[in-house]
Amino acid sequence: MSLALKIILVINALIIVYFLLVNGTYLLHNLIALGAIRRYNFTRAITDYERPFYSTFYKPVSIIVPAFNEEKTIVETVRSVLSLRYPEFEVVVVNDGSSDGTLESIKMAFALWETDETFDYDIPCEEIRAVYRSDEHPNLKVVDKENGGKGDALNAGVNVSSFPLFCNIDADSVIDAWSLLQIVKPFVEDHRVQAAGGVVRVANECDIEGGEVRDIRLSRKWLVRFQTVEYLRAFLFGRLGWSSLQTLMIISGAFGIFRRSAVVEVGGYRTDTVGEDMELVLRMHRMMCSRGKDYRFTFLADPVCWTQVPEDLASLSRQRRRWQRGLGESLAMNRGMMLNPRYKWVGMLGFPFFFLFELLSPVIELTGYLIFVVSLILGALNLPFVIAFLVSAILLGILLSVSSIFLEEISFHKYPRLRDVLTLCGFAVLENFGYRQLTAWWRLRGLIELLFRRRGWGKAKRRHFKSVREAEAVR
Amino acid sequence: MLTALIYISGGLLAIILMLLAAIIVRRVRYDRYRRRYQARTRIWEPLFFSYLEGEDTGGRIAATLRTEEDYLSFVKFITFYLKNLSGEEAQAIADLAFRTGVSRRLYADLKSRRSKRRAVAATTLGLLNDRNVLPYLKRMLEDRDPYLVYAGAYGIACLREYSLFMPVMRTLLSRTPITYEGASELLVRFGEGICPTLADILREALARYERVSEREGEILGRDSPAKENRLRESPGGEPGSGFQVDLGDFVEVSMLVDILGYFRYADAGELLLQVMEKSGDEEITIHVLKAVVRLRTPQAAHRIAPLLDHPNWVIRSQAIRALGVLGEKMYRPDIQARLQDRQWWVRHYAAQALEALA
Amino acid sequence: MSESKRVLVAEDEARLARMIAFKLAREGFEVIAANDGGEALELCMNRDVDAVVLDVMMPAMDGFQVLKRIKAYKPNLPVIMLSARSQEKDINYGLELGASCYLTKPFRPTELVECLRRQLGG
Repeated sequence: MSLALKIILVINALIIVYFLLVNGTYLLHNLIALGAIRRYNFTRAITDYERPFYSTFYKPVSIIVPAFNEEKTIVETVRSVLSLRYPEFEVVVVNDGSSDGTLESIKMAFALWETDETFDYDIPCEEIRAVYRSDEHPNLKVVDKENGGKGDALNAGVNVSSFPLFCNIDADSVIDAWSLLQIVKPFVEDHRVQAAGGVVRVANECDIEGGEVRDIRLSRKWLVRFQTVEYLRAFLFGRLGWSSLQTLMIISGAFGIFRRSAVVEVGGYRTDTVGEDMELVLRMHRMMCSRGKDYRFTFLADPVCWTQVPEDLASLSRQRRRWQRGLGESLAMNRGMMLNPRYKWVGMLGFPFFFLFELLSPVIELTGYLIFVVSLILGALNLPFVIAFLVSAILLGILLSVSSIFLEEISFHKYPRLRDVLTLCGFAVLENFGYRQLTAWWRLRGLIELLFRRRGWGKAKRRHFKSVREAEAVR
Repeated sequence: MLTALIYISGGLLAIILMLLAAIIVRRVRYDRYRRRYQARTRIWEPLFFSYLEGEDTGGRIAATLRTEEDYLSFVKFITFYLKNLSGEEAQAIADLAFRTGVSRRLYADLKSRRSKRRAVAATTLGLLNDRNVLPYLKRMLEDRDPYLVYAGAYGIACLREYSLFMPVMRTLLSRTPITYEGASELLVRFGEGICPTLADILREALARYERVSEREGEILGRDSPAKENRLRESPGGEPGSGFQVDLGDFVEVSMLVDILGYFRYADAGELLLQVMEKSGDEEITIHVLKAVVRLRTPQAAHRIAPLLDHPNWVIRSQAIRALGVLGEKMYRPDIQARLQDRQWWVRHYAAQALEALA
Repeated sequence: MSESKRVLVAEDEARLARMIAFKLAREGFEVIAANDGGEALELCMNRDVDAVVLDVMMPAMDGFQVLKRIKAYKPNLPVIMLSARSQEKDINYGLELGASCYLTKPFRPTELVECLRRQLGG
């Protein structure tokens, strides 16, 4: 056998090993998540937070809502945030130098007036032009500042916030009224907790009225359905798995809650990356580990943040490329953690995993396809073998997704219609025939863009939440 | 190799189909169970309401409880009302549980091999105010699982078993990672009866502190290194002061202050003020100020007034707020001076306090 | 025989609402129910109501807002608040806004009836 063929076979073998490792770990995640779910069901049985009663002893929370050019949705969002059920909280809206009518819409909707309140710049940020308050809602503060990006807006929000905990919510997300009480619980039950993340679910096609999700439906759009399966697999059970191993490396920028003092101490968010949410968590890990502190980051699967996902290919592509860039930047900025025993599980397990199996995976995946084809052509592999392998690979992928849907069924079962759940299973199958390859391609582009220094967020087409009234009008 | 792959594929396919089947079966069963539960509650509700009105002895309900599922559903049914009602009606529900044999079955569940069943039975019995479950709850306090410890503690607190108050507090703070807020939330369920005990703990700690600082006071200053060495990081995450309660594991004074304030335990007013002054700790001061506002201790205003110039703005604000509530008009000029404070919140509270004192 | 008094019960937790309605009916009151703040307000304005039992935690419009508006139009209408929010400041807030009684959950239905009778003068 010629050397070239030998090499190709070795590469094939490596790719197969890689593939097994990746999917094997994901399956392991689901198994671990299963354990976490059983624990969750257990505590739910004995503590019962159907309708949480307010605690008399609580930590007040600041909710920071960064906004950039959100004039369509900002008022609705702020209203729904103001109606959250929590004993004491403030809402800090940060207008990050929007070029549209975002600030004007809020000013009018809430009758804002400018205050002469002073505060310390605990974290450096772009200049704050003014801070506004409202008589009708004394716990609302609106910060108008020079544009500086999401990280900078969050830092400004932290500066202006006065409570020991802060929660960051995206301007286009909706969280359930009781979610705040639930997401603060870890901070009450466990003094070691420094940050907690909630889960993000797909809101497209759900009925949202008055900030409450009335009906949870599966979108009719194929692209959204693919993403729904993905979110279940990666964002719910993936994170639950990691969290159980004390290796939570991302807390979603859409819904996370942090101890203010810890974030200030670590220097706040970085403003030069699009992955500021992950980057902050990594940096916090580093700080906690180097202090030798006993700490916890928690992931909560129940308080849900509903968000609109992109419905067209172009926006989705931009989002995925941006996520990959953010991932790369976060890892690069904290590369000292790689395989560093000082950082315990995160350093030895999580970081290398994310580097190899998340960051580099598009490269290896797509190369894998190429090599397979080449091998076939060159006769290094025979067709039956390749087909058998492909079939196994696809089945493994399907198993991964279907097991996530199964986990969803035994835990949160948010989709009331069996039809929707079965549709999701169908898409769990379909996603292996094109969607996954597509996302891999976008992630590859993201990686390339990162290497060639592309920055920024790009524009995403924003959609209104489908409120019940709108739907009725259409009918 | 090929055959291996074929077997693997077959295996994977089988697992997938099993999961799909499991999903469908679970869903169908769950839907059916929900429908059965709703049917049951439709029958129980009017009977239950009648019972609460004294029109029924509970016999008709007892007649409907035949199967295991009946019993479990009924426990679920009454748990809701137990959590929302108190007084005569809650007692009536407890009687009903006894009369229909539900209590008996809950006790049987306490011996169940499944820890979830045991925990649910224990907490339900606690909700039913059934004191016979106390020994079992006590055993739960010693469990390895912090959730069971918490559930046991919660049950004991709801039953107001004062004799177990100290063990509960100790266990909670040493064997679960709970915060002071979480612990306070649970401990107040014991009721005001714990206040004298808490006051005693504080008094003892104060006496011990005075003895210690008397010895070291002249040699060491407030921020001396020896005192630093006694600083322990309290579970709250912030460094604790040297002034702590020794229960084997340190308990934060602030928590005791909060609970005394919550119950408006007036007898502790003087004690709290002394604690504040002797410890000189900022965190404790803030908690005491908040508590004193609720206690309305006479003459407290005079002890609080010196804090109007404190370097920490939170303390200034709380002191102002307290003076406003306590209504001691002689400090109005001092508060008025605070209208020029550099901190917005201090100015804000000063304005509010002046309005209250007008 | 005097006309029975009409009480509006605004509680979005259906089981509790039914229980309260049952008890009040047995005590001789006529009961109308509302599921949320908006409905409660509407019924208050448009129907002849003698008293209101109002839950604080309701979707869309919370009990305090409803209370404010009721008191603006019908200041003499007794409103009894029922709430899981047991903090002092909420209780005071409710009483400040004009609630006649403020009951916190877990509550005594007997107390609710007592309060109603007091407000409706016998």
